[in-house]
Amino acid sequence: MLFSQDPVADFINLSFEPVWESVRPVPIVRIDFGNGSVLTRTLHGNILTSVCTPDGLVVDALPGIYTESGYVAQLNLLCAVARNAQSSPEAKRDMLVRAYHRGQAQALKKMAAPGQKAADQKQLYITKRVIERPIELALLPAQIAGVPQTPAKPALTAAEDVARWKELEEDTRLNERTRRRQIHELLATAGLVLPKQVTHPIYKDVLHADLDDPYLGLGDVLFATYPFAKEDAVH
Amino acid sequence: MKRTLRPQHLSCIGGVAVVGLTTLLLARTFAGGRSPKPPAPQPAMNPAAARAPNVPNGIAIRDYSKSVIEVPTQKVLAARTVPAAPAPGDTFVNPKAQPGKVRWHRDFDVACAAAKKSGKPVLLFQMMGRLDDRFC
Repeated sequence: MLFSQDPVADFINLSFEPVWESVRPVPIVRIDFGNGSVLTRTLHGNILTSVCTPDGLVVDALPGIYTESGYVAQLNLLCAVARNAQSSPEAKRDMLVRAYHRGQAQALKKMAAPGQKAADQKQLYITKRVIERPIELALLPAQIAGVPQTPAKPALTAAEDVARWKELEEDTRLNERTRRRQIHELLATAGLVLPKQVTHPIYKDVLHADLDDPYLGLGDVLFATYPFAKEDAVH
Repeated sequence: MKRTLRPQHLSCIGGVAVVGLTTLLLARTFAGGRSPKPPAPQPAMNPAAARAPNVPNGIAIRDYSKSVIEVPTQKVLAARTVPAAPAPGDTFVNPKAQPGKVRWHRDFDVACAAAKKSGKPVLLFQMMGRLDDRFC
């Protein structure tokens, strides 16, 4: 588990005031094979990691699951963005956060790594000796602070561990491309808001898990050929 | 020696004669084909006593009578029957687990209060299920 890894846990304890909360019960599937073997799995669970100001307003969010190194790297960046937002004048804070998200969304749309895009722009502007930084870069750190070293790829031997790692890597890439762009676009519109104002839209539109749907969007799949769906729905 | 009939003997013979005569009369009555006086017609106990149309005689009356008796009973039982509670051991209990090595605050408000003192941002980890459950 992610939070059982020392580098991840130590970094979070050092850099954040952490809290977890459950948005709804997770669906659990149990298959009893009748010979004493029982398979238990969660179904359609998903996570959302938000970084907030001390006032409880969402600065940015990481959707879904990441590799340990990817998670720590992103949290490190978001920690810096949140600190910069908090240190900026309160009247400008919302505008700066919206501009930050616009810039990140545009960078991802062009399929460029956001950090690299920012670095390129900064270099360009330094070369041209422009004094003011573009507003989209205002919240980004000038230098990324050192992060605890987590192995980019742990030493895995079992075939299923390797397969699971590949899935994690793929999830991380998906999160950082498609899902992060969606979150940037959402927060560029919403601005600085409380978590409860964006949790349901993010779960529904980004993570594809509608928290208000009792079947979490799986109703069509579960009841496609079920003959008593209408009767069960009445009761 | 001369035998004489005593009174006890005479009464015994008389009783036998009466019984025999009665038996003879009854036998003649039934053998003659005359049936006993039919019982008075009983009032119908329920509307089902009437023959249902297009139904074999006898079967319909018996079954319809039964259904009139049994249906209300079924309704009574159904209304009074309480759904059985699940037997102990049928409900899945998600075992508890340590939520990692992070020092989690109790809730979001407490984390925000701590953040105002420390100057650190708040990390809000949201999930389905519970982080301190084994299956989450």
